[in-house]
Amino acid sequence: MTQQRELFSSRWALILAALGMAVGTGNIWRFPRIIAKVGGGAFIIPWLLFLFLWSIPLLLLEFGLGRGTRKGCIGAVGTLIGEKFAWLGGFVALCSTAIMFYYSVVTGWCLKYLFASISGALGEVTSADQGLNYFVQFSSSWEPLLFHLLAIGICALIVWRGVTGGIERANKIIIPSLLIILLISLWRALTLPGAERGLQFLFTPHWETLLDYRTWLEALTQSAWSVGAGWGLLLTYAVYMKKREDVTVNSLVIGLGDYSASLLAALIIIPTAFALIPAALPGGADMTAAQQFGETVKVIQAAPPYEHYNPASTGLTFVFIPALLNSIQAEFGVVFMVIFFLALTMAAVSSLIAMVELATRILMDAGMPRKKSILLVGTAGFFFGVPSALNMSFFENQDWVWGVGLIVSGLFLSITAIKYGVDRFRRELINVGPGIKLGRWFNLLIAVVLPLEFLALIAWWFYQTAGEDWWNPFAVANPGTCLFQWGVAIIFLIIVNRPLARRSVRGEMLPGITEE
Amino acid sequence: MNLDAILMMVVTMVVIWGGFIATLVIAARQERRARKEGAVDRTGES
Repeated sequence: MTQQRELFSSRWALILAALGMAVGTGNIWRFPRIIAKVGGGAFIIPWLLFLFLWSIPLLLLEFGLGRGTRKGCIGAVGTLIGEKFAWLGGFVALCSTAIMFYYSVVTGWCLKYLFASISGALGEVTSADQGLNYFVQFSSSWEPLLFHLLAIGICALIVWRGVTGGIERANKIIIPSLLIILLISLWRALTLPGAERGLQFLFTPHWETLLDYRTWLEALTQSAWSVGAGWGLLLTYAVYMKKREDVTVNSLVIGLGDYSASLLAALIIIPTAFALIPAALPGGADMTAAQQFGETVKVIQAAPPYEHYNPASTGLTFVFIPALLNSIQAEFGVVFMVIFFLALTMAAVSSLIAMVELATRILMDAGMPRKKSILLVGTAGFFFGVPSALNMSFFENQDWVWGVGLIVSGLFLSITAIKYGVDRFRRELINVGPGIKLGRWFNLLIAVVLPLEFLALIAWWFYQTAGEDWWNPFAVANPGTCLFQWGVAIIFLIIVNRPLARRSVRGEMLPGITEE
Repeated sequence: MNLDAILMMVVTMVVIWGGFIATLVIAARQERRARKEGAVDRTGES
């Protein structure tokens, strides 16, 4: 019996699903925090540069791999450059799956705060201290486990319903709703008295920050993290795309769409913070405008004396936002709190769906039926997420190790194209069908610029941290813990490479399935 | 707001939001053209 492979119903369905994958907590929670930490305006330059020098080239590679091979990360890399190199794709998949374990915990936090804002429980949070107490009490209780289970369960259920009936339908609702919610929130934020100080902080370029390696590392990590480039998620969705679509335009839509959402989120959160934080600080009302500005900068950068408000980098979103929005309760602050956490939850869910599908695709390529794969991914997702749900240090460690691991994933995808022949990759897997044709400059970008970006950042980062406790594999965030965990992952993948690659490449899991 | 901040804000918005809208328009045009060509193929006209 032959069976038609399930595909996205249209190009727009694929684009919406890919935007859902890309737009996540990285945009709403992470970007405003990072741009504030690095110091505003000048950060936008390396962040934009890395969109075109890192994220979009990788999106193109992922489109080419997924559409060309019709297999997930391991099968795609093994098919293209040989079974013995399939572990490169394995690392990409493992990195994203490791992120899924703790990302589900984060999605659970979003769900908890959404429910708490609807029930009115967050209405009692009227100061930063109360916001901190609320988060600490929540995160040290059993509740994160329950909401983590709910998050992974919801996403597994959506994936269970299939590519068109689940992933496509969910994203057709989530993405337009998210856009409307963000635009309503933008209007509210920019009409708050004092919001213009936030705009000034956000866009004033401090050029000296460009001389700090951390600005560039943060910009690259933010771009890779937010766009989802190099995760293998788009590669997985591309398995289900129609053949004759312009992947160059698709990649630009996804990359710029993701950046648009990040910019919207920053325009909502930073001005809201500058408008409302001064009144929430002890003695804030008696400060001069310059003092209020300075103290607000310290708060959103989690600098002394406010660093304790930022457990696991949650400060701005989970500690301050409830208190700040409650301070405009007379003007429907609670409504905006529900709207804000609804947006955050939808963004998180749409990204988690893609992660569940990635892991499911890997198991399917290796021969497991789809529904059994989803059950296994959901169950493993819950159990491996438990340590992050119960221990903040473990959560921070995983966020650091696999967040930076995305740079290694990007390098591995680049190596795949180089091994296959970048020019051949461009001609056979990207420039297919009508639309914009990529020129030879793309070869240079993949074969030279991407590996150089990787080398420069890793070398710079190691140089800067040398002499400190950089080698300690049990530290929360340093090069040692990254090298240790990446090393263990790579050794494991090389050991299991042969049987895994053989099954994934030969597609033993997909009996009778024919190309559309 | 100072002039540097205003300039940076305008350039950022034009590049990111303008770029996003432009690529959406290109994708829509490609889809319209593909549908037209599909319709021509089905009727057998050249």
